[in-house]
Amino acid sequence: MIRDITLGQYYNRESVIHFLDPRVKLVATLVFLMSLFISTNIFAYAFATLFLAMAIMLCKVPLSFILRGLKSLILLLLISVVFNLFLTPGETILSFGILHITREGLIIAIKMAIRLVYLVIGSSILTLTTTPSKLTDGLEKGLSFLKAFRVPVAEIALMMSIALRFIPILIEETEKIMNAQSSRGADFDKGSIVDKAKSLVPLLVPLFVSAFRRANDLAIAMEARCYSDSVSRTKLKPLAYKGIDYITYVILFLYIMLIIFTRYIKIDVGIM
Amino acid sequence: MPPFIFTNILSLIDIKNLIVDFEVADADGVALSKKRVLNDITLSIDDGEFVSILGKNGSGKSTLAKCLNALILPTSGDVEILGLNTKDEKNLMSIRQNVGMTFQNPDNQIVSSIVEEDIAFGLENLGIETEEMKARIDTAMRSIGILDLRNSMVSKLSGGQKQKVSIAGILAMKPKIIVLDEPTSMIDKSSRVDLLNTVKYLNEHENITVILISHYVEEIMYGKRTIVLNDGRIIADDIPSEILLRKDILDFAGIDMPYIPKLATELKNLGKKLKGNETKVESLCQYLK
Ligand SMILES: Nc1ncnc2c1ncn2[C@@H]1O[C@H](COP(=O)(O)OP(=O)(O)O)[C@@H](O)[C@H]1O
Ligand SMILES: [Mg+2]
Repeated sequence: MIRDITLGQYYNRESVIHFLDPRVKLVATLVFLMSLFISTNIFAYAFATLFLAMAIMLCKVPLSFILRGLKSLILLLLISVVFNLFLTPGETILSFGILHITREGLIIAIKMAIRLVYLVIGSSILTLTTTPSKLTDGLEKGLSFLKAFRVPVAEIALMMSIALRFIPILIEETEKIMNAQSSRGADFDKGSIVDKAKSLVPLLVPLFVSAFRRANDLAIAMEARCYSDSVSRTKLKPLAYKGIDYITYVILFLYIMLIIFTRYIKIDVGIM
Repeated sequence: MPPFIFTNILSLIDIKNLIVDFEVADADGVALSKKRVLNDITLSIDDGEFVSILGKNGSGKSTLAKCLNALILPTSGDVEILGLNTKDEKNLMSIRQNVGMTFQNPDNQIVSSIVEEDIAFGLENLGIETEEMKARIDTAMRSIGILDLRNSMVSKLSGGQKQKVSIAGILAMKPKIIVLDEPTSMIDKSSRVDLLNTVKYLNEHENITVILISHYVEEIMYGKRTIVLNDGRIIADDIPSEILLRKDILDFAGIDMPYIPKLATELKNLGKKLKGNETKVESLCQYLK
């Protein structure tokens, strides 16, 4: 059950999107998210949909895999849709007793749903097509300008990659401890919230103890291999832009200009 | 012919009167008291040796190992590696590059999720250029026999494979010495033999000085010299076949004798005239008539 958590799950395929520099993909994801939030009319949403569809097609990852990320979001999605639907003041178009759906509420709910779904799909494509180490490399290099402000970018990137390395280990350990506790009669699924929280204590304590021991061991092993925060490290796989990366940047620029441009189209059709 | 000039020939590792004290909290967790973990160790190890360090849990083996690459500094006494004193801060990187070290838990010493990237970790720290790095990773993986694991996920490997990845990771840094702290204690029995044979190969064919720490007495046969630690002191330093027959020493150190030497000792007690260096079944069989 815990294993079902998909965290940065990489789907290995030979595709243009997989091949792109991680920095480009990070920027692309950001640009796409931005475009969702400045989209105001149906044209903008149409372009965003087209953009996303292109990415889905190009990345060669099965659609079912891409949509998997949505499952965990359904509840959040429903809540935000329902709230917007019923609680937005405006012109009533449907009534259930004291509850009224307004025209404005409907529009906001639809926009919200599209934004959330696209947002999840967009970032899923990023993590499905980029290995964790490439992703952290991309962040490190992409954010290296922050070093000027004394942000330890390289150290943060290393921390992230170590976290990714140890997540499967800690998940396995959690399962082991859970099994051991269950076999002694612990029940993690029953009872009130307080009971559930209480049943987690004997799970978390050994987990933390073990995590700290591992962290200590790892720190020693890293020091033994000449790690120190004062050395300037080289890279086995240094990032370098290729032709396709520059082309993608141009496409991204054109895309965001297009979205901005749609804000100036005056339309009076439909509900949007 | 020009005359030979003898310069000062140094041992690879030179330990003089090494004492290490740890501060430990008392049971109530308040008062600190000193605990002597290594007690007056004097030892030198030459280039190309394969030394096993044997001792039960808590005898100070790991502490001694960590003194070799300046992870722990002496409370008193000196540790010199290639003539470089571990106390001198400026020797630190050079010592750690020359003394590669792996640890007991295969998981807690691997930094990256991908094999090749983990092997690169030490080289990245040393500032090696990318092309040179790739070449060294290749060579190291070939010596260890894990070329096929290059792009594997570390989380999918067995314990024995993870230990091999760790050894490849230090081998790529071109050390003169590798110190393996109980590399077999957390892996299954069949991978143990395989791992130790790989280590032996490195010692014999790549001229790497090996220090193998173990609490399994049967593993000392891979080396040519065995040091037995007990309570922070060296209680024996001899060839392995001698150590195996020293029931008194092994008993004193609380280590179980393996079956063959035990049998040899028993036979000797029965009045058979043994040479006293039998460690193989074949060499014993002749006495069983
Ligand atoms: N960091 C430390 N602080 C205090 N005591 C320690 C520390 N590390 C080890 N010890 C103690 O030193 C002794 C020797 O430990 P160690 O060198 O790990 O033995 P071995 O590797 O032979 O099992 C043990 O009694 C242990 O409890
Ligand atoms: Mg130990």
